[in-house]
Formats: sequence, C-alpha cells, structure tokens
Amino acid sequence: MKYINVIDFSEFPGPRYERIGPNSGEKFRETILLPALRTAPIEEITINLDGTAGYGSSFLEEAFGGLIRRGIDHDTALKICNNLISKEDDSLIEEIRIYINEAAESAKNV
Amino acid sequence: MKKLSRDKLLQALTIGKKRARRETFRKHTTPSERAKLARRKIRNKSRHGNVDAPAKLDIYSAKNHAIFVSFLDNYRRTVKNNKKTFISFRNSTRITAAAALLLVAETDRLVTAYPNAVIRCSFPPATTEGKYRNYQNIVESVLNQIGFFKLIDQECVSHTKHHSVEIWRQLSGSTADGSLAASLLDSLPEEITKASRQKLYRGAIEAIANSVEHAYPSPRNDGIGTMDSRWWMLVGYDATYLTVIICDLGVGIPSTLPKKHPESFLSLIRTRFSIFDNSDAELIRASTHVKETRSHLSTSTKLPNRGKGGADFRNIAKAFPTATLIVRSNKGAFFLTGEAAKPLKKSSSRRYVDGTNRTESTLNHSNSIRGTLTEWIVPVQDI
Repeated sequence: MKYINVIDFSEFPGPRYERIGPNSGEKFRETILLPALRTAPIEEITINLDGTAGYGSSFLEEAFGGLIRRGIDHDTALKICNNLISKEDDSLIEEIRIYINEAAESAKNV
Repeated sequence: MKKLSRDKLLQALTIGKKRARRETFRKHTTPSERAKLARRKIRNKSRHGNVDAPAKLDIYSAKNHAIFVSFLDNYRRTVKNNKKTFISFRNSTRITAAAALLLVAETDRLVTAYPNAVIRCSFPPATTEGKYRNYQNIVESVLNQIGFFKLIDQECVSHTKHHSVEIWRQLSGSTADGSLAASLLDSLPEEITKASRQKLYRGAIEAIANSVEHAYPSPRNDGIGTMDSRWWMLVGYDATYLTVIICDLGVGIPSTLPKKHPESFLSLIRTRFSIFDNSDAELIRASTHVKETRSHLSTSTKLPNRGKGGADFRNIAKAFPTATLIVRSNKGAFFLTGEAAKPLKKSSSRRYVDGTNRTESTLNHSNSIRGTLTEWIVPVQDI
C-alpha cells in the first residue's frame, strides 16, 4: 500500500506551474504522483488531502487533470479518486474527478 | 510710547535681523550674482515636489475614486521628477482598506524604482468620533500598521493604534508562494475556523498566481519604465468584517484578457453571459466566466486548461453567502455579492447584471488604477 500525504509535499499547495511559484500542482504530479503510479498498482495508492492550508483549483487541475495530459489513461486516473481522503473538505474529491473527466474529454478531441 | 508685549518685541527683533541680513547681502553681491542665486533657488525649489493627499483615501465611492486615483498619478509624477517629495495628509481623515493597499503598493514600487528619492509626509490629523467625542487617528494608525511610514523610512512618532486596525497585515511577494498568503491568514484570530481559512486561501493563491502569470507581460504604462512584477496582499479584520485584498500594478485584466484568449472564445463568453460592450468592467466580468465556458467547451474542442481562477473568486461568494467580491482593474469594477447579502447601493454609474437578482453589478470609473485589486469582504458573523 502506498500512502501519499499531500502535507508531506507541502503545507501550502501553490499555483499550477513551478515557474509561477513553489509547491505547484505540476511539481506534485511530476515528483510524487507519476513516480508513485510507476511503482505501485493504482488500487494501492491512497492520497490524503487533509492538513494543508487549502488548494487553489489550478493546483488540483494540473496535478490530477494533468495526469491525462501526461499519458495516464482515463480509467486509471479515475481510480485515484476512489482512494482519495479529504475529511476536511469532501467536495475536493468530486472537483478532482471533474478535472480528470474534462482533461480526458479534451484529449479525445485532439 | 506704548510698551511692546514680549511677542511683539520678538517679532520686531526678527524683522530687524532679517532686514540687516538683506542689506548686508545686497552690499556684498552684484545684481548678476543675485539673479544667479535666485535662479538656483527656484531650481532647487522645483526639485521638491508637494502632493496633497485627499480628505478621503477611498476608492469605494465613484467621486472619491476619481480624486484618489488622480492623487496617485500626481504622486507618481512628483516622485519621478523630484529628488524630494512631500505628501501632505493634513486633510486626510478617512481611509479604506483597498485605497490603503494601493497607496502602499505604489509607494513600494516607487521607492524600488527610485532608491535615491526622498519621500516625506505630514501626519494626518486626529478626529473626534463616537458618543464621547474621543480623539482618534485612524488614517495614521492604518498607514503605520500596514508599513507605509517604514517604506518611506520616516519615523512615526505617535503610537496611536486604533483598535479596528490592530489585525491589519500587509505583505508582498514576486512568486505565487502559498506560505506568504497563509502567514497573513494565520494572523487572524482563532475563532476563524480552518475551513474558512482554507476557502480564503483558495481564492488568495489563485489571485496571486493570476497576478504573477498574467499581470506583467510588458512594463506598466505609467512613465516609470521599470519592471516590478510584485503582488501585495492585505488582510484586515475588525469586529464587523474580514477583508482580504490582493493587488498588482500590472497592465490590468482588460488589457490581458483579449491577448490570452482567442476572439472566438471571448465572443462565446459575451453571448452566453450577455456582455455587450468592451468596457473594462465588462471585460473583468467576462474573465470570471472563463472557467465555466472552458468546461462547457472542453467536450468539443481542445483548449488549454488554464483560467480556473475566476471560478475560485466566484466560489467565495458561494462559500460565504453574505460576502462581497470586488474585482477592480484599470477603469472597471465588478461586484458579486453572496445570495444572502444585501444588494449593493444603487448609483448612477452602477449597472446591475440582468438575471442575477442584483447580486452582480459593474461600474466604470473615469480614471484607471493601473493595476488589479481583488477583494473579498466577509461579514464576521458569516465566518
């Protein structure tokens, strides 16, 4: 079982891209999410979103919607949502699911 | 002969001394030398600029907005053209959060652009307020609290601290660093829940990221010619309201929006949300609809997934039903109130957006603030 605590990445999740500011969604995806997806089966990855100062929508979109743009297939990306923990704000899980679906729809229409 | 009082005597002595000094000066100089010295005096005098700050440092009312923004233009020009600038606050008796942040941001930018310029100011007067007509100096308290005197390196001798501005904090940065925004939100009292702080953080980090990413594509058109890509943030809390403001001194949303999005996409937003003109206020309103329009389109076209921030701003009004969101950029202002909030006051220049039950309105001013201010005002009872 692989357990990812976003607060271990940063207490202050930042903007979309690393060039705009530190602890970006892009960095979270590239340094935490994608390596985890390469080393463990998707069903065994749990991501805990609690404990941080909050999330901008750009961070969430780039981190999770960005998985699709980096070649992760739609079903695999959606499985991540099944193992998300967000007791402080459960609407984040639905929001992430929407970003993944939107990114997949966009990718289909290339 | 009538005996002179002490004051009259001193006055007569001073007049006599000045007259003697003038005569000595005339005796020892030629007319051409005197003319040369007079010219030098005029030249030196013109290198000292004076700026009068308005009575109300405020941008909420249209009239005060015009006066305050023209004061800022004058202030910028004076600092640019003079070695020393003196700001007179002798008439200033009222200050609001947005104007205070704008003044600090402009000053911060000017002292960075002109490190040798000297800026000094007079202290605002104390006013009487309340049932017991107690003396208060709210303008000085605010300027002191948010670091204006420190910026211009002038000591604030008075230590008055108005209770309503004790929890006002201001800082600036050049990257979208969430820890900076969070540090200001952490200064709020403990009764503000973590959930509320997270909602405010969400709006703040998006506004800051927007400033860093979009506000400074080219130098600001204000004659200063410097590239200072910073943002400023203010958090204010008193017994009635919590105010969070993010400010940048960039080219403004009305200038960046048409450059960041294709005309076909903007036309679609205009059609969907009944935006009929290209005024600054309507372009700001359009910018808050970028996300939902993009989501609507994502099933049929491939568009980059940028532009989510506008929705985060709007969500604050959903998260806090009595809150007000104000986005000001250049000459325009867009207002969005939560569903439980009182509609904003009617004025001749305010235009309510059709179909929004007076929760959305726009306003165009005559002068540009030359930048963007995103502000949330949340009543304390709603937090």
